[in-house]
Amino acid sequence: MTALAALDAASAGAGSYLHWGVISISTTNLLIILGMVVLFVLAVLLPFPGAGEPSEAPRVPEQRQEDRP
Amino acid sequence: MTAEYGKAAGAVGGGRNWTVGLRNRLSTLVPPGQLLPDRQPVYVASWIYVFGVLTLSALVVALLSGAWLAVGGVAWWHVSSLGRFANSLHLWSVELFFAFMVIHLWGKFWMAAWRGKRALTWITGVIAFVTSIGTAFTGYLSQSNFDAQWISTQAKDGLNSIGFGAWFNVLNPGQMLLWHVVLLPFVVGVLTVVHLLQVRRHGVVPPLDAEAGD
Repeated sequence: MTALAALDAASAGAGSYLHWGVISISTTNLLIILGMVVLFVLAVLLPFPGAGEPSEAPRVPEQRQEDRP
Repeated sequence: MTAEYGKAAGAVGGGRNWTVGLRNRLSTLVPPGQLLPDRQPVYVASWIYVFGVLTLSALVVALLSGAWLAVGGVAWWHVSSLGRFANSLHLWSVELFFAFMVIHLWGKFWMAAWRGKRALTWITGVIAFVTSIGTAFTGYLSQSNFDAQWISTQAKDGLNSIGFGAWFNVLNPGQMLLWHVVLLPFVVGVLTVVHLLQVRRHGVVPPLDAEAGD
């Protein structure tokens, strides 16, 4: 019984898992992935400080570099 | 004076040798002034373009904290609070490294960043990503604890099943440690340098809807 209690305690500390058919993922990993997706969406949508202001940045420098292998 | 020196150099080296070839190659790797440019096209002013340099920054912290851990040895972090701090710094820099790298990958994938003869930039990034995963896995095997033992037995079955287990033995902690601290970081480092040189060589990829004058 002591061993079973220890196993129960160990499994209780292993965290929670979510299951959809063959897919099994820990809640922590799922939350981290969702957080990364949110960060990606914010990075695409949020304006960058200073963006849109007049700039003297070079005009598409790739044009002179396209011929490089 | 210069002509005389040139004649003398020509007399010794014949004008064409490996040194001259390497010098010419290095001098044309990136356009003049583009190795460390201080200006970028306006479309680079977006948060999605930040994740490449964030990945690089996390890699630098991972390498430095890894070197710090190497000074104390694999068991140091088990017996020292300072070692535990170094270990945590190493762990979390790697966690951030992968998070930033995956978001960087998403951004570049949906930007079709291989456009404009940037295929080699894309390919070196992909290989660096896969090599980084191998580096992280051998790091799990180098923790010198029961977690490392458990992971190694599970990995052993998998690698045996595809015929790699004989020469890449995950149950050999010495081999895994050397792969983790020498071979794989060296490969990741070289790939990172080549990747960055490709970015500097071809410029940052423009968004899909960018006009030629942006």
